[in-house]
Amino acid sequence: MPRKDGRTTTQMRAMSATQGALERADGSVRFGFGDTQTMCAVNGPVEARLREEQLDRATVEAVYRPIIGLPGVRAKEIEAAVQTVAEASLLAGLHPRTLVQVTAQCMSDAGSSVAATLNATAMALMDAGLPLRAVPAAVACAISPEGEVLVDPTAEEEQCARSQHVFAFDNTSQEMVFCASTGKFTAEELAACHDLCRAGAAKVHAFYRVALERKLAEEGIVA
Amino acid sequence: MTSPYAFSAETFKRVQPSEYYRKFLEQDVRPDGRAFSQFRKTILNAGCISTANGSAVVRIGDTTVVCGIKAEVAEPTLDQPAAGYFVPNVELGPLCSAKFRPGPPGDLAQVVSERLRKLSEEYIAFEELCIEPEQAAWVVYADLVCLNHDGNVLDACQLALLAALKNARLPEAQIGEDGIVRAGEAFTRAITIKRPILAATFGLYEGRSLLADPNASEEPLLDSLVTVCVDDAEHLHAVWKSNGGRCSLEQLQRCVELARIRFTELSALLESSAADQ
Repeated sequence: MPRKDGRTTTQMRAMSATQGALERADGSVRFGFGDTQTMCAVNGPVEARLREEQLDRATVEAVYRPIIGLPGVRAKEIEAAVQTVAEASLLAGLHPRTLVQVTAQCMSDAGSSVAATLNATAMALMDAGLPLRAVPAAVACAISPEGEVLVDPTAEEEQCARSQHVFAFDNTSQEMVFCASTGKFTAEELAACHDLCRAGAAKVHAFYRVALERKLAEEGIVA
Repeated sequence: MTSPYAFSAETFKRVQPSEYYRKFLEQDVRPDGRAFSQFRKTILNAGCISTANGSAVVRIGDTTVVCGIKAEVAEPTLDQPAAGYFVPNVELGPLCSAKFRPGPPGDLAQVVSERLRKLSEEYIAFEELCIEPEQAAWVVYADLVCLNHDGNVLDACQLALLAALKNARLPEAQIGEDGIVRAGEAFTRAITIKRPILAATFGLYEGRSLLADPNASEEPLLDSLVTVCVDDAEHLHAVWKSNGGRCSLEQLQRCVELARIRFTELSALLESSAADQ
C-alpha cells in the first residue's frame, strides 16, 4: 500500500546536504530528509577543560538544541545518540587531551529528525577534516499499527506508529553502531527493521560520496 | 627469580585495566568470578518507606537504587485531557560514585530518566489516573535515588520503579460540585500496570565477548552497551545500543534471548516480594 506522500514502504525521501554552511565552524553541514532539516557544527580538536581531559584520547562533547523551547531531557537523549555516533567514527586516540565539540540544531522536523541529526553529525565530522575510522549513516523506520515497516517515516507516521526505530551503520563493516527502538515490537520485527535500515544506510553512504565528490570538484581538488 | 618490573595484580589492574580484563576473559571468566551471561545477585524489597505512596529498594550486586512514589492531584495536560501523567526523576549524585558531581542532574541521570519515562508509556494505564476529564488527574512522581553506583543503573532503576508502582496505593478521589477534589482516608487504589516490563543490559568487549550486567569497572572498557526491555508476552519494548562499538544482528538477538531469561528470574522476584506484604 503506498504511503500518503506516494512513497513505497522502503522508499526514503530525497536527501539534501549543504557542506561548510557555517563560516566560523571547523566543519558544518546542513542535512535533510525531505522537509526535515538539521544543522551540525563541529569544532575541534580544541583545548579541553581540565575536568574533561582524557589522557589517551579526545573527548567528544555533544550539544543538541531542539527546534522549539529549551533543551530538556529528550534533548539529552539525542545528545547521547550524537555522542555515540561521533565516538563510533572518530579516531579519538590521534588527538589525546583535546576536545571535539559537536553542536546539532534541529531546523525543521517533518519526521526522522534524530536520523537526520546523526547524518549531519557524520558529514560535519568529515567536513571538519578530522581523522575517522568509519563514517556512520543513520536511517529511521516505524512500524505502523497494521504491522508494516515504514522506512524514513514522516512526523505523522511517527505519531501513529506502534514502534519507532533508529539504526546507524558504519561504511566499513556494515555493522550497526547505534540503535534506539521504542514502542511494542517482536524480535522478528526488530530484525526486519535492522535489515531495511541497513539497506537504507547504503543509500545514505552513496549520497555522502556524491555530495563529497561534488564539493571536491567545486573546490578544484579533483576533476 | 622475580623480575624487577613485576607488580601486584592490584597495580596491574590500575595501570592497564583493559589488559587486566583481557587476561580474565581469555580464561572465560570475569574478574568478579561470574560467567559471561551471569547477572549479579539481585535483591528486591518493596514497601520499605512507609511515608511514600509506594516504594522499593533494589540491589543488583553493589548497585543500590531506592525508588519512592508520590502522587499529587493536578490539572491534566491540554493534549491528554482524560489522562494522568508520570514524572520520573533519577538522582545520581556524588553520594553514589566519585564520577558524579553535586548540582543539577548530569547527562546520565537525565538519559535514564527519559528512558524510564518512555518505557512508562507502554505499561502505565494513564487513563485510569484521571479523576475528572479536563479538571483533575493524578500526577505520579517517581524519585529514584542511587545510593551506590556499581554499573547498570538502568536495569536497577526500572526494576525498582516497577516494584514501587505495583506497591503504590492512592486514595479514592472525587471532584465535588464546588470543583474541589476530595480524597478518602484509606489508601486503597492500586496503579494499574498493563504489563510488566523489565530491562536487561549487556556489554560487548572488543566486539566479541557478550557480558551480561556489566559493573562499574567493566562499563568503561566495553565498546558497546545494549539494553533490551521485554514484557511477559514475547514483545520487546525498547532496545538501546550505545557506546561507539559495532554490534551484529546475531549479537543483538542473543541479547534478546538472554533478556527473556532474565525477565523470568526478575518477575519471580517481583512476585515473591509482593507476596511478602
